[in-house]
Amino acid sequence: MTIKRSRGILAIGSALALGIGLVGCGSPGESADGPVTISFWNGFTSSDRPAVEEIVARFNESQDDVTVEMTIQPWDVFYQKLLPAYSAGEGPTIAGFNALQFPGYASKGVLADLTDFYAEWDEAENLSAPAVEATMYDGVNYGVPMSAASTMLYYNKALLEAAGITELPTTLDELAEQAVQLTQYNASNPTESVYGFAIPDHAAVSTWTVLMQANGGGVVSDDGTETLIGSDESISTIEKWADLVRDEHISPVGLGGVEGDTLFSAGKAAYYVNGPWASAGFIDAGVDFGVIPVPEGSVRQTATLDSNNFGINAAATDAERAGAEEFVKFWASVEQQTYWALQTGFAPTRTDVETSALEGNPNSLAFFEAKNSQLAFPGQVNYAQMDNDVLTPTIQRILNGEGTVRDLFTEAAAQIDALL
Amino acid sequence: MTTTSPARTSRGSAIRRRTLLTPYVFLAPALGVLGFFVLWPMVRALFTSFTNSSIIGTSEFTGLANYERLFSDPAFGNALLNTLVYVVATTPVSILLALGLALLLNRRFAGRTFFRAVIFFPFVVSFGIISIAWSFILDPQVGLVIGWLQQLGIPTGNGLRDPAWAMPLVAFVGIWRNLGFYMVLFLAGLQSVPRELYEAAEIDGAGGWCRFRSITLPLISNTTMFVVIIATIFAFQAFDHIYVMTNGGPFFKTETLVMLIYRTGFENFQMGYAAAISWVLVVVVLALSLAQMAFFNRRAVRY
Amino acid sequence: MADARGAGLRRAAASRIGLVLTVVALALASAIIMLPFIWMVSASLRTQGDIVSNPLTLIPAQVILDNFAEIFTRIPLGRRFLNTVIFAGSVTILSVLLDSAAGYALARFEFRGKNVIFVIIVITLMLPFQVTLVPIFQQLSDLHWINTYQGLIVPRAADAFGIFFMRQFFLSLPKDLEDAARVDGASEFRIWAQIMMPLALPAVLTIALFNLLGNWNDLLWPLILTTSTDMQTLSAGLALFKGQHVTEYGVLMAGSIIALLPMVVAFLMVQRRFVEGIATTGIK
Repeated sequence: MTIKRSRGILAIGSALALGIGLVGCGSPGESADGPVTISFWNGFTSSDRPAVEEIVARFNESQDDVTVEMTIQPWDVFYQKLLPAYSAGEGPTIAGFNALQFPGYASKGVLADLTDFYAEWDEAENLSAPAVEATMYDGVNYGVPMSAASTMLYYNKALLEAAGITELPTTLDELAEQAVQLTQYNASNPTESVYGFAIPDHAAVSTWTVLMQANGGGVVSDDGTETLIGSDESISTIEKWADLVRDEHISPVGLGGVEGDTLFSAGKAAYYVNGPWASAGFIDAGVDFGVIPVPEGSVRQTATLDSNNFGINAAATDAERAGAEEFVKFWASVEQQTYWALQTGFAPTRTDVETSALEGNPNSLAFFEAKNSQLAFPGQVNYAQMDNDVLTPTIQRILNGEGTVRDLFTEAAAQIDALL
Repeated sequence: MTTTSPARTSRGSAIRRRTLLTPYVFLAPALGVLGFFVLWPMVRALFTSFTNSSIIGTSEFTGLANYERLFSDPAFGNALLNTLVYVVATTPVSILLALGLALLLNRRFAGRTFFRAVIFFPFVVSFGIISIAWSFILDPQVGLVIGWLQQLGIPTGNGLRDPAWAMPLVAFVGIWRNLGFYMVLFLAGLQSVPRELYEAAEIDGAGGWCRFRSITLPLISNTTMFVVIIATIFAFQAFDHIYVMTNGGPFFKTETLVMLIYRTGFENFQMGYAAAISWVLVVVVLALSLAQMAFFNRRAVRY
Repeated sequence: MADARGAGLRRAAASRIGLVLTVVALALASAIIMLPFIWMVSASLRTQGDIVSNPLTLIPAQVILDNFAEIFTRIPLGRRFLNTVIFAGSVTILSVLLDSAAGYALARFEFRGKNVIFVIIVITLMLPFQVTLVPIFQQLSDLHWINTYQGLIVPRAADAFGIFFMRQFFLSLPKDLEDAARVDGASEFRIWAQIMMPLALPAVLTIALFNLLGNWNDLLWPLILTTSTDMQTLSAGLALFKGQHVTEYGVLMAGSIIALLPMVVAFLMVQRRFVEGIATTGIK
């Protein structure tokens, strides 16, 4: 009986092996005179995915020359896979990912130079300027905006009303005062606390950089050439806000982006800076909220731009490249951008969309109004290191009381300098 | 001419020839796969560690530069220390608990299967997803476990975000995950202990602890060696739950060696340096494993 | 006489108390162990809004089954399930065979290089995947095996964990077990297949279970080595519910529950074969 069983197992094994050969899939290819198939990778999982899938489907249906095959995977897998894939010649024709990462990849030569494309594309001038700027590295366009979103200040109407606050803050100083007023910190039962202004310190669109930039500081200068984190403005800004967090408990320490969202959804945070993607979740959670532009600092009003770009494979064939350009133009058209904005709550990537068309999604309208946003780390090849290795741990150390702001920021400035 | 002797000796030498070749034949398929798909990439990674590769683009041979850098890099020292702390905190506890549970659940009693299933359950689900669940219920502001502990008056600091609590919590989840896994390994090992030995010992009047020490422990030494070595190797490579729960934070307090390798290789694009760190990890783990093998080989029981 | 009986009774009573205490302790431990799963079940029955606005409770504001329904509509579950079965199933079957053969060789024979080969095999467990990912990707790309079943399965057809475990198990079996069969003229293959493997059933099932589990739940390996959506596995499908900014807890947990049910079944099936120790008298 045992010989039969082991033979049986061997039989199954070989049948499977045969089956593999029959069922095995090939990779997207290209036929000489049929439609061109191009691959498109991105990380738009979860609630944004249906909108992306819909636009891709519309493109495929609208014409017969180009077929886009899209693969969506979580961002961390996406980034682990992208370079090895490019390196082995298996990279996607179009990759859609965060603008902050673009300089890193552009500097490795895997993304195509799109200067000519922009020159010939008459719609290019209608694209949102900050979004286009976020595609530049070393003075050259390497991408086309896929999504661009600014952060704004969310506020919980019920909490503000309960505290008797009637006027929304226009300056960061006012925000600080209100935050202290709104905080009800319970030291023995932190889960029952209410926080005035939740500020995440990792895995989120950076609020700390905005606080510094608004007062004339920042991590790097707007043109990306100078280190600003060691400047007096940066230091004094963070000293003030860190004290508020540590002593007045206006925010929990160690929040990640996801935890910040949950906190606001649970009605335990009065103010919170975030992008449009969060609004659908807050509505589902039953929070009565509003959004206003991020209040201005002593020097200017600014917010963070969270934008994703399309990058075209530098090693793509001419036919693939042409197909990719067609898709990107389709994505950027008025019709698709209106759909995109209504579905996802992101602002359209072009400025000539009628505001009346956006009324179906009031959040989209509100975020459309956001001005003055910029990348937190413009044009930085070593963005990831700056953020993960320097800025985030430094802020976390400060909030946990491990050193003075001046010392830690001076150290950070030296590290950022080395990475510029 | 006799008929039996030449036949017997020729069959004897035929058997000897067969048994000389057989091990190689049996090993060949597995070694083939491992050699080509695992060992060769490992060797390639070793070569990479002598370069300044950033995955794509030209990479130059830099000799031992990456290894020299390790000595002065505070990030490496930190990761090594964190990893050692994690290994010491989780491995002995996991193994002892698992052995105890295996002995307990090897005897027949009502509910045995239920408890075995429950203890093994953490291993059945995807670690990444259940770590998301853990992160949520251990969140200092909204986690219900933290809430309950607070109501019981137990201090929890800032939960997973607290520099002092992050590592203990991560270690706890690490133990939680592997307990059932090691327990099942021990249960499998206990299968090969003949019942008659226990029965004979009981007749002779040996007590429970004596039976354990003289019969069980020696006879499962092969399994024990396996569990000890495997548990050590896996503990040194702790990554999945740490990545989801703390991402090595706050400020690198829970960054283990594999977290550092991931950060260096895939976030900072320094694959050459990441490969060097990995090979140092291999050397450390190998040294430990060889020591463990030597320890157990001296106590091996063959019968 | 009365003393002995008294001692016997006392021992019996003590062991009964011991049993009760043990069960209580086990039950307590079980509750702690199952905590995240209890949350998982709770989350799968709640809306996202409910989960994030009432995070401190396990009780749904309103029980919904939509999350389970959504799993089936939002990802093509059928194809992903098939891919996972093919991938995890093939790896399990192949590796059980290859690992058992290799483990048997390492345990039951004396030959040159035995210990060196063994150590090298164990070394393959020690290098983190993050670092071998790039060379393996390149290798499979050269073979044109990216995005194919064989590319997923063949590199995992043997693994050091299984070989090591089977070796340990075969070492525990009585020496000279094979000699009688050899003298009788049985081929080496028959000895392995008809005598050794049946004896190793608990170990074989254990390795099979772990391989199945490891590959069924694996996210990174299949996702990195496939480049099109129709080759993705169940775990890749579940990963779609985790966004960069938002995690859809309810749907994700519902999906995990569906994905883990086959594994629970597999575990229970393997467990039933674990008896309380084998009787060796029948072997010789």
